[in-house]
Amino acid sequence: MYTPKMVAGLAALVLAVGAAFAAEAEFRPEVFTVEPKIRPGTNLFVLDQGWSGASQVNVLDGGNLSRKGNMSMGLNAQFILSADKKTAYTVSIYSKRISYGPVEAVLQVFDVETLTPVKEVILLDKTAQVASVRNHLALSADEKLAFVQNATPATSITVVDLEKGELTAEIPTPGCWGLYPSARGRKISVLCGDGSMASYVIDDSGQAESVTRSEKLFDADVSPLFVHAERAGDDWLFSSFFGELFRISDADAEPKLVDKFSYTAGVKGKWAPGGFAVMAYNPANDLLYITMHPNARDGSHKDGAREIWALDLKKKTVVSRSKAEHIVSIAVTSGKNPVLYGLNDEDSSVTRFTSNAKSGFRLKAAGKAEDLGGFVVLAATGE
Amino acid sequence: MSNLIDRTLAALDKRMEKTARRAARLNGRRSFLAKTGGILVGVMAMPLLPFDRGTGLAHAASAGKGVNDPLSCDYWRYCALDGNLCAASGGTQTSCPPGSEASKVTWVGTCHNPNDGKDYLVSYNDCCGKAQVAGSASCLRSEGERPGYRMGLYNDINWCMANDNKGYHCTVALLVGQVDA
Repeated sequence: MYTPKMVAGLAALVLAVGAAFAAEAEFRPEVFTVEPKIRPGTNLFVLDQGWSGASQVNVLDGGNLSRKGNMSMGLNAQFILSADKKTAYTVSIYSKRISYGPVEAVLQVFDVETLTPVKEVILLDKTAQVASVRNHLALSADEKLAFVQNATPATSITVVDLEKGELTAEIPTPGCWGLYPSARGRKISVLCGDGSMASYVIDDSGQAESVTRSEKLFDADVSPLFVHAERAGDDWLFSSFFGELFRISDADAEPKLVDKFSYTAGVKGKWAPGGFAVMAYNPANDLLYITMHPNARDGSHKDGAREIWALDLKKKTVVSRSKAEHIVSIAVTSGKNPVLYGLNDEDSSVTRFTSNAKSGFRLKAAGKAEDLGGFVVLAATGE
Repeated sequence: MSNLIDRTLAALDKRMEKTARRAARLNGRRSFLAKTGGILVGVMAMPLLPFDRGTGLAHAASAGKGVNDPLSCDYWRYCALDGNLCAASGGTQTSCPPGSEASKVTWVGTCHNPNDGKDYLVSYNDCCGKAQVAGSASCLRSEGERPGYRMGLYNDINWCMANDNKGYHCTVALLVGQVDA
């Protein structure tokens, strides 16, 4: 004999069990996937150069500095972007037993959107294992050739045909260092210890067809130049260890010193540039940012910046000085309102700074990302 | 007196900076933090105002406590050394740790010995073929250092480059000549 109350209770139980079964039927296991491409928005590239293991280029959002992923490579990586920022080129060393055994030096081409290697070219074993500076790896203006720095310690350049994936030449460059491609045509220049610059024109087969040596442009004893240089139109901008700007044109056959001036003269405190990528050029304002430290002395040229100076290249004057903490490398965007990124190799961080003409391009901190690796030394902007 | 304290603190700061930067570079941030903690403890235990009793002047960093200590980045002959100290890796200032191999090529520096007032030519050889020793002292000094266009003075490159086994292990500093005044 069932009472109405019992029937109602039984019905509720049936409904509850049914609902549970229905819920279970609707459950769908999650699917394991790989993101097909990086999140949209501006990119910031930060190289963490490995001396004991893998190097990597971390890709961050240029605005909020969140991580988008990375590209990984071997020891002592060098890194450069294509002009459209869609392709990354790296050179690094893969040792058979990591710290010993035969080495294989590899040029890798990465598609930035998918962070995937799309091509490899095996290089010479003599590829330089050296702290990253942008001018240790270069592309020709048409981006069909790559130039790779070698050292045994005798120096040379490997020329790579990127389309064919072949090495076309090894150019001996005794006493010279750094890679400075021309803005037009196929020419690569190097900086030499006697104070000159040597330029090699590359023919269609990838061979050096001629070399032109400049007059003495700088004094490596008295006023040595940083290897890091910035392209400004037809000129390369170099800085001496002690605060002189050298403007060198490679537009003609023979490199020529176009201008030279001090940006520290008359400033108290013995300020001088220091670090690795010590300069960053903003073309929209013809402006050069420089990492600066006080009390400069012999051997302080790698000291982190206490200030970043903004140098107006038309006026040849420092228009602002902004506080900084141990920044050793900088990169800046190309637009009217420059965004500058500063790398601190002490705490492996990057700081984002904004600026504008109204404030004399004074830098205002606007975000920081930490824990970017062991030797965070080179950055590039995606805009 | 405040000037003296400022100078001393500046010297300590400089010492901290070069040690910490190199540590971060070679060993990674985790090790860097551990090492910084160790340095801070060490600083607290050190006498803060080292006086030269002869002149009554405070020592600068370059002529400070570690100027004769092969385990210190301030050791006078390390004036252009960028790397891990072999003396703190199982070797000495003139010998590689066991099982590693001596580099075939070197860079050089010219360092002033405050003990005899003379300048010496110093050969910085790397030791090769092994991983870096965890916790080894990491130094970055670049007196007279020049970029790769003066290759023999360049300390940013791996000087194991000419060896069959090219992994960077540590660096020694051998006196190879005396510079005539």
